[in-house]
Amino acid sequence: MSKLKKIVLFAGLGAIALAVILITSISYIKYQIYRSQFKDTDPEAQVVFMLE
Amino acid sequence: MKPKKNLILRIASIATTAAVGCGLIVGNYYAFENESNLNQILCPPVVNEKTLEKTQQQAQEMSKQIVSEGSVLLKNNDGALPLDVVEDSRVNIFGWASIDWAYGANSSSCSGRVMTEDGSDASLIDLYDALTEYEIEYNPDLEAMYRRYSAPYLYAMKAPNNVNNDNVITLHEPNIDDKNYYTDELLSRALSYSQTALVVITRNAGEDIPADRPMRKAGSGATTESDKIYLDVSAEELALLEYVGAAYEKVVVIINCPVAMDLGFLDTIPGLDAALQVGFTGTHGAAAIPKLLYGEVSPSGRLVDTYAYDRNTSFAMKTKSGAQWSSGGNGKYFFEYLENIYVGYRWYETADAENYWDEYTRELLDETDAFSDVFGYDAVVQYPFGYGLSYTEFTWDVLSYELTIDGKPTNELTPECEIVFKVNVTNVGDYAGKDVVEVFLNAPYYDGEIEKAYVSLVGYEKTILLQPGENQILEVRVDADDCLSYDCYDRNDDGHSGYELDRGTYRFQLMKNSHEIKTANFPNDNLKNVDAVVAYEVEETIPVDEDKYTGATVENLFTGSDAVDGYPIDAVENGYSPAYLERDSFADIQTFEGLKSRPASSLLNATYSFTQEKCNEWDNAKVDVFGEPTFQGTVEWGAQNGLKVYEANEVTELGYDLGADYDDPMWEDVLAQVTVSECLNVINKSYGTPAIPSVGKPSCPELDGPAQIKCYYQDAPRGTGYPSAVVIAQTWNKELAEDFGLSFAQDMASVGINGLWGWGTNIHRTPVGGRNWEYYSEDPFISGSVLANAVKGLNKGGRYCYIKHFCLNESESNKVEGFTFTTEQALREIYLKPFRMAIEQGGALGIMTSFNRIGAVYSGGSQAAIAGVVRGEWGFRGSIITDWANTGGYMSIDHQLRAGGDLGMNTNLNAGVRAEYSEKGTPRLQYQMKEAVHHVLYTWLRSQYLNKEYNENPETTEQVIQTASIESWKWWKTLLIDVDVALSGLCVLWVVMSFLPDKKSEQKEEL
Repeated sequence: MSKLKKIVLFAGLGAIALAVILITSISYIKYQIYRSQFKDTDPEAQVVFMLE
Repeated sequence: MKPKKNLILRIASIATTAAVGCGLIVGNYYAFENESNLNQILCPPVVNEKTLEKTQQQAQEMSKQIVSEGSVLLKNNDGALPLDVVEDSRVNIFGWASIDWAYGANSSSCSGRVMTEDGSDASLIDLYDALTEYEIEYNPDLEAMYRRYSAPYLYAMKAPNNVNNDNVITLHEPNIDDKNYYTDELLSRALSYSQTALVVITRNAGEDIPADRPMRKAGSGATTESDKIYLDVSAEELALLEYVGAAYEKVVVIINCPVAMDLGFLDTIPGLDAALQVGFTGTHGAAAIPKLLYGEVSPSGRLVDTYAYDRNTSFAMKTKSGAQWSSGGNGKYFFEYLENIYVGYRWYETADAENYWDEYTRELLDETDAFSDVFGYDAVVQYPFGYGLSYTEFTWDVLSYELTIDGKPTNELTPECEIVFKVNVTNVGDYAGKDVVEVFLNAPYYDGEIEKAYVSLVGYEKTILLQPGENQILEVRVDADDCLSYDCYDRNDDGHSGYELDRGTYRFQLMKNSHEIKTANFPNDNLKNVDAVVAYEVEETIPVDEDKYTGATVENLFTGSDAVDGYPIDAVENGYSPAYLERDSFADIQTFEGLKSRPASSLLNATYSFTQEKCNEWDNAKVDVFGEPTFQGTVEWGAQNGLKVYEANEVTELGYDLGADYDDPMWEDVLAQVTVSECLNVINKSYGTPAIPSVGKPSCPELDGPAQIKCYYQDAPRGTGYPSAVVIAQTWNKELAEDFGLSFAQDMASVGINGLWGWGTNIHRTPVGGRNWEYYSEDPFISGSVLANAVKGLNKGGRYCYIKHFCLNESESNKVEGFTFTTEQALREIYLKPFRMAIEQGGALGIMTSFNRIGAVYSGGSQAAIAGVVRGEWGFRGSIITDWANTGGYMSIDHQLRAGGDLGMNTNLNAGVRAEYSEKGTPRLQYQMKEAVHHVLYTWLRSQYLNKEYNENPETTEQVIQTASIESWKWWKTLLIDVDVALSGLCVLWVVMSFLPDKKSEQKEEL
């Protein structure tokens, strides 16, 4: 395998891995931000959670 | 690498990339097409554990309350019940069914099966658990024997959803003479253990399980009884009952079944002292049974079906399964409800009035266990509708009875009236208990004129718990609207077809059941111990042309040559006329043998299909089938008006205003914002209504089922499993029905569900309807009353439900595309009535149409039923959804949309006929599409509005738990994108790599 090929291969794999990690992380963080809007209130209270 | 090899590699990489790309496109398409399903399976809502636990506790208590009040004491000789906690502290429990307790029906779908909230069998409460909890001991040897014998056969509850239906309805009672199981030692020790025996008999049921299937058995010593059906009692069960009845001093039979199975053995086998029908108890309701058995609670349930000794004495049984078209009719089945209005007790009591049972005789046991002959009605009907015993006794004093209009007294009975009875109910017995005052109407009947049942239920009330000596003045209100007859044929020749208050004497009978008038005192009239009957005269027939609640015109829509759907619902055409039962000729039916196959007429064949031509005709029509002009204006889509009905996780003030009033002027501006794409997404989605981002509507998940809110997939969160609908109806308690509805709403909220596919209110036309356990009764009035109250409770809790199956869906056999014919009188008085009550009085916000046809037309496509009756007469503005449309193009949302429906479950627009569902569609079609969104939005907002109203009511004392779950992370979508990126990236990388040289030497070779 030529040097160029190796560079392209590893760069490509790295880019794919980075993309997957970024997509997953962004999605998870977005969900956690959404999740944080809701507090676990006392069940004696009327409104506890509400659907998005 | 040689050039040729490089070329091959490049081609392969490009081809693979293309293939992967196509695969990903297709895979992603199907994944998002089934987004709702995947969300349910893989990402159920995140529930709040605290509120879920609280909700479950509350729901479990509700279940126990329902069983406590809904169980019916059928027999109680010599005060065998209540048992004594000391003398009867130990009991023997017989019957294989005792260790395979039926908590709910089993089914091929998830419509009715109940499961524990945590999926653990240990949480279920059966009779053994209930007795243990009540500190009553039971014979462990018997239990162990049954468990050893029955281990391979447990299906009633513990089998998974997809259990084979044949196994569900297989009986496994061991043979009492089989010494491998009932050893002499076992039986001898049982007699020493206790002289009190409980015998459990159960029958299962469910969707796609007609109860008239031939009896199936399995197990050691099981005999073949080919002349019996599933609802009959097997030889093994009879032998067991005979043994126990002879051997034990006290025998109580527990009927763990809510439908009218064969119970004749209670009156033919000596020694069976008492019987308690508990129905299906849900996952926890059985805990109430010991309280009933031991007198802590006096039974107060009343039957909601007639129990006949021979179910074939029901005339409807002669046509229960329909007949197949010999030609035409798409090769399907047709049903003719020849019994007309004479369903259930309406048949049995009217036949008795016409002396139809005079020749019947039967040898039965009396209260002393001696056989004697009984004659007539008593030889036919074992337990009448409304029947139920108590441990205590009640007297009634009819303090007053009054005709009123809007609360003011009046002198004449007219359709606007309410008849108000005030009955002082006194507990004169030794136990605390509740009583039910049942008011039946005996309407004036004239030979050859309007068909009228001898009695029909028009009112009822139940007391609170009365201690011995206590009394309560019950106010029983009867609406004269429920006393009308629907004269579809103008039988009384008054020139009017439709609802009428016919001339004659109206006798309002205060009864213990459909057969026995209560003896009461009328203090103000100085009458003592007389039949509790109040009569009013109507001098002349009064026609009624308007719906009492909406003011809409009511007239024949289904009858005659101008039937709206193009084919008369009574199938009277082309010289053919089904022999619908008429009261003045009951004797003629003796020779009737049942429906026979016949060819479909050309008119029927031309009517039943929803063709492209009919679709185009509807789309382009300037006048509708009722003669009204259709919408020809411009429908606005995608406007940017900036209005939101939901924002920051709350319903806005605008949203509440729109939920308060379907005709609020702001609807126009809000609906204008909806895009075509959003509209199509709403109509085509299953498992709930999706988000509508343009107006802020969130997604609203919807699920089965009537006895429990739960998903088909086992791991999703679920609510509590309640007792069956029949048991709820058997309580005859309107407040309890409403409380049940509210409890169910809280279940739904706790697991993040907005809509319920239920409750069902088809009629127990025959005892063998497969889903009778899921529907309330053979009587439309109590069905409608229970449902209306349950719906009120559900709406208060901010949820909505799709009452089902609309309509004429009384059979599981041959129901798909089944052509269903009846008279318009029976349709309106019997089959439509509970739906009407639920909508007009209960405020129901959803309807689910059915698998069968109303007459010749698919139920969802019936313009007469949907546009005419539901939308027109009843003013229904909620959502109408199809049933699960796995029936090819038959259950077409294209068809249903044009009849006034809204949502397709498992069916999309253009799946049947083709149409332009876009801005290019005809004005009428676009308007209908927009109205579908209007209905869907209103359904959800109305439920939110009613919830807000309830919460803010200062009289509201119950703690209401609002939505108590949030959406979970839709990880599968992220994973899908990851896979898309990874696979695409790898393929592209491969392609790129294939064009790059490997080594300098190869570069030179290529050059």
